[in-house]
Amino acid sequence: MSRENLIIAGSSFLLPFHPDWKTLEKSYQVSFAEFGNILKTLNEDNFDDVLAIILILEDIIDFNEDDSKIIDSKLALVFESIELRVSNSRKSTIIIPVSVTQQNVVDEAKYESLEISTYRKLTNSLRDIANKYTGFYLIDSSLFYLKHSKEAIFDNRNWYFSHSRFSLTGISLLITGINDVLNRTKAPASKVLVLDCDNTLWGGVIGEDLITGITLGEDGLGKAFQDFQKEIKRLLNRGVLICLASKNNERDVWEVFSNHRGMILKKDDISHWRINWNAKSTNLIEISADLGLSLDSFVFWDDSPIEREEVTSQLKNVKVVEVPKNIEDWPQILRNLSCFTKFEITNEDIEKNKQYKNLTKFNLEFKKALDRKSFLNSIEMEMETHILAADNLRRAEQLSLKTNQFNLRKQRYSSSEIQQINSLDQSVIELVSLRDRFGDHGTIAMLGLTKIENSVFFLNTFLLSCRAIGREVEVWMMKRIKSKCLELNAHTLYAEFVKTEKNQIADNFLESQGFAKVTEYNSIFQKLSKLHIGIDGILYILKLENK
Amino acid sequence: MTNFTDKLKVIFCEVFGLPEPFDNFINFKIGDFDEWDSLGNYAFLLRIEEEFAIRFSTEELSKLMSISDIINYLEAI
Repeated sequence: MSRENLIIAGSSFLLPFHPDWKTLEKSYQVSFAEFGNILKTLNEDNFDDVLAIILILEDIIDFNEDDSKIIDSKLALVFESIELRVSNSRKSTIIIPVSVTQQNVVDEAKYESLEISTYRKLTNSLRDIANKYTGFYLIDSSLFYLKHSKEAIFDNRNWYFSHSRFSLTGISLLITGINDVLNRTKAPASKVLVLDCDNTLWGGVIGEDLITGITLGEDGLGKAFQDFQKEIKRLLNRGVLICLASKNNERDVWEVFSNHRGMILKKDDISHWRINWNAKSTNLIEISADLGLSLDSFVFWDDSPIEREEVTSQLKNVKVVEVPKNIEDWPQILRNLSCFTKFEITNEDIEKNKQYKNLTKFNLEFKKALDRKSFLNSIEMEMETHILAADNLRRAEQLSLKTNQFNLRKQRYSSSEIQQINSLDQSVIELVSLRDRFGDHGTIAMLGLTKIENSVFFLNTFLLSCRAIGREVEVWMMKRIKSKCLELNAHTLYAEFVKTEKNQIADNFLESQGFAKVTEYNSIFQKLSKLHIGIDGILYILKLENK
Repeated sequence: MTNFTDKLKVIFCEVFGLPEPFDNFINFKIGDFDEWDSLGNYAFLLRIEEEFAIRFSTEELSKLMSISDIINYLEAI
């Protein structure tokens, strides 16, 4: 697939020769808009391109000349132009508002200066737009000052010499920010954190030091371990599954979980575990199989360099954190791990630990079942569809970004693209949730239909989360699609299957559901490409019979 | 002298995207090839600042326009 265009627009010069801009070129065709003219860029026909805007307040407002009325009208123009773009574009838009003025503490001690209040107004309004439009992202430049001083980020000499407000360091920070946000729009966050126990969740070795001898809670290092656990708990609350891989007697570990007053984590917080004397890599493989999650969504944290090395050498896909010796730094490092960052916490995330526990209970019985079909019939499976709405849009995006195995197409849709598809005439996007007697498994599938012309539809999305594979949910979904098509008076349904390294399981599915390969391509291709639907795989057709 | 030159060669190639520096590198100046225009010169000088941990004044940024200028400057500090 060709790379998307990424336009970089600055209210002043952005040193396009900075070598770090090249990091964005791995995924994007990068170009720079004429600097100093953000409004023009926003109003140009570039809705099919990703756009990153660096807006320096002092570039658009002259605080010596402009009164508050003029300031408000200038800002209003910016907001209007941004809303116009983000409500029309299916591509991401990022903005980094920046203020370069350094105020004096005394001047600000009683009353806020016009510069600061204007900057606040600017960022608050942009934040409101970011909340309203899923494809719009705000990068808070004040976060940069946690890493570098304003003096290191801005460069007055560059300003007078070349109209660049920034130093090379400053530009690097902008690029990192843009890169981090864009990466997350394209790739999901890691899902599982696997932890060691001894000298990781607490200080000391439980088998030797016993519950009374380990370091946890109170002051000093014990407090650092406890804060580390608090950070783990935070990740848990953000939808990360917490697992243990520990060389210990299982009973000893749970004794600490149940009886040590310093423990923040409880046994119930742990989604899955392997506590034994096997190699950690073996245990990670087993946890991955039991949860039905691939190892590339796993992050491994262990204080022992030997264990880390063993996992690194055996399992290339697992992200192994280079853990420093100083425990005191652990909470901060865990907090800053970029692999777990997310734009938003969905309801699905909050329920995830519980849902995966339900799933492992199901998996355990499913494996033991002699007759799988009658087992599935006995567990009271209930599927329910939900139309796309504000409260499930992020989940729809997650499913589109994350689902590899049962996914007929390989398109990755961001939430704004999903909204765009859904807004087309007679288009349908539905999410599917699943319950059974083991409990609620959450939203596990998505299906989408796009109208090509009267009575002819295209199956733009058909994907099923790996945790619902093997239950014949896909057959139910196809039935649902067929009846939806009949509701829409469709007589023809097209579908695409794009073979990838991971979706063998979906191979032959369309044939099994009565679809046939399309042999005459031309006219349908043209119609699809008018709708911005590119076909990379095999196109199938199904004739529907109206009864 | 050689030390400066070698380091400069590396930066030069990196900034202008060259596999290796030209022969008689030392005689090159701004305008000798398309990429070394005023913007290219600026990029080159900012990278030199970073690599040599020095800082040019606005005036120096406008005056240093050839390899020999830069080498002379580096030798003098």
